[in-house]
Amino acid sequence: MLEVKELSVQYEKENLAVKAVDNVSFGLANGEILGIAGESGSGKSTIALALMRLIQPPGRITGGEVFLDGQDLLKMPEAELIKVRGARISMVFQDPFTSLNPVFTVGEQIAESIRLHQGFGRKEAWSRAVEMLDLVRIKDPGSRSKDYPHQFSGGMRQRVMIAMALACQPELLIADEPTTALDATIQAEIVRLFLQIQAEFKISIIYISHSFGIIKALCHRVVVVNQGRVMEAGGVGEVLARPRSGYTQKLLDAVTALNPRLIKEVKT
Amino acid sequence: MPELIKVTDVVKRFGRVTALGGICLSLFEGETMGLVGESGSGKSTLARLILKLIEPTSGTIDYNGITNIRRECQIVFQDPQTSLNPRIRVGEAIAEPMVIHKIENKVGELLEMVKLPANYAERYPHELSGGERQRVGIARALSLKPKFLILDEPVSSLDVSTQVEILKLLKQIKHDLGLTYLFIAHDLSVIGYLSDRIAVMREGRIIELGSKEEVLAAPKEAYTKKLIESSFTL
Ligand SMILES: Nc1ncnc2c1ncn2[C@@H]1O[C@H](COP(=O)(O)OP(=O)(O)OP(=O)(O)O)[C@@H](O)[C@H]1O
Ligand SMILES: Nc1ncnc2c1ncn2[C@@H]1O[C@H](COP(=O)(O)OP(=O)(O)OP(=O)(O)O)[C@@H](O)[C@H]1O
Ligand SMILES: [Mg+2]
Ligand SMILES: [Mg+2]
Repeated sequence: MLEVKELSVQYEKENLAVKAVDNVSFGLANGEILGIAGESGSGKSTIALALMRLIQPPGRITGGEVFLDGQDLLKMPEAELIKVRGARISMVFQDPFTSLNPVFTVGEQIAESIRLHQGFGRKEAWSRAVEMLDLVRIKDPGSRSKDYPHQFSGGMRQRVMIAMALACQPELLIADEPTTALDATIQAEIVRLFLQIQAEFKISIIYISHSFGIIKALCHRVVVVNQGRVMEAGGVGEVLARPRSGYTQKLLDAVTALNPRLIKEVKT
Repeated sequence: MPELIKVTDVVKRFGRVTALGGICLSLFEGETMGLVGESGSGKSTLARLILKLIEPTSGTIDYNGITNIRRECQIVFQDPQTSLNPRIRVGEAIAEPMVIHKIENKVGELLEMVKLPANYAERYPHELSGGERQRVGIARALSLKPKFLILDEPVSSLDVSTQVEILKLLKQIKHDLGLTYLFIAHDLSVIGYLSDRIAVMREGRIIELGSKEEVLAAPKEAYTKKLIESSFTL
């Protein structure tokens, strides 16, 4: 459904250009979950933003094509693109606080997005919003929906972002490090939720994460990026078991270095 | 080891929400206390109370050998975006506490410590990736050479190899400066790497507390066991 071809993005400043994304190509099939992994600063978020044409100046997409069912999103008129964003593609941004509006309650924001994209009435949209909060395991969702974002904990805000993205029932979900603020039990439930939604609605997911453990549990394929370039791509099992790139191997080694034997012993 | 901070029967309510329902916790000089627990269980609230950024509804927090909390206790906030002023360049943001407290300005050294290039000082926060912003928060907190440092999910947005570098650095700094850490994280391998003792929180209470080995290898509480089992590993 999605075909990214030779995508390049550059941040320009005082005659200095940083190539954050350099000739990146990958594809995504219907109903597929694709992981994007790579070091901090390697260009993962920039790729995600570029797919939705959300790169802000001084950033600029310097080349490439992004086909969604045959249509190039990078050439689409802005008015049309706005309809695609939210309705067909939705995104969980890496930074939950800046993407939530501080002056509206959490429930209002989710309900608003449901009303806009799915044409529900006010009351229905509100009860859907509360259901979505429940789905992402917010306790006492009925009363908590009336809280403002600053009254939520870091992980609760992150779950609001997920609820909002899922509420639109997109065909493609782009999730940028969506569970970094969640404890292991809730993280596991969110990953299960993604798998369940993917199976039920056949949506495609691009999942950006630095955790190979999550990528292994969730994704079918993985793209590993470094300094804006694709180092390797392939089936998750294949890449994790027999990485072809030294860079991937280095990342995997780091995981084993940190993973305390303690925990492994408890588990086995 | 002497007690540096003692939290006694602390309750914190926000309107109808009870964020903390009676916390008792001692932090000893030189130790790293790992704090894990469910999202929304009150970890960040406890951190803000200890720093006196908010007041408890009831209960007390006592400090031993800390006279200037603002200077001697520092925090790396969970949300780097909100703690960095978007209009202030990274270099100035790191320098600010040093300027206020009139100590030598070492922005370059601090950036190097957290593995960021020196020219990042010229950048604005939005010009950084998520993990890079997190590292700026760490540099800023270390600038005053605090006695006590709270790290609230300081490496959650970092890839594992950068995580390892930052954790090693934190361990080194703690060793060199004799710091005491309260380290909040949800990733048990991260917690296990740095902590001496671990406290597990759920619904505003500490439900389990013990040495790292006790809690990770022989957890008593069902919730702690579930946390360990739910971790995604390779
Ligand atoms: N607005 C900007 N101006 C200049 N450089 C930028 C800007 N935004 C990002 N960058 C740079 O582009 C590179 C890629 O950033 P990006 O946010 O895509 O990384 P990432 O892989 O998502 O990292 P992380 O895992 O830390 O979130 C980084 O070196 C970053 O400093
Ligand atoms: N200013 C506030 N007003 C109202 N409720 C608040 C406020 N700050 C925190 N809370 C509530 O207190 C509870 C504990 O929040 P806290 O941020 O301490 O959790 P946490 O353990 O840090 O969670 P996370 O791991 O998700 O960051 C949550 O239910 C939260 O919504
Ligand atoms: Mg990112
Ligand atoms: Mg928190």
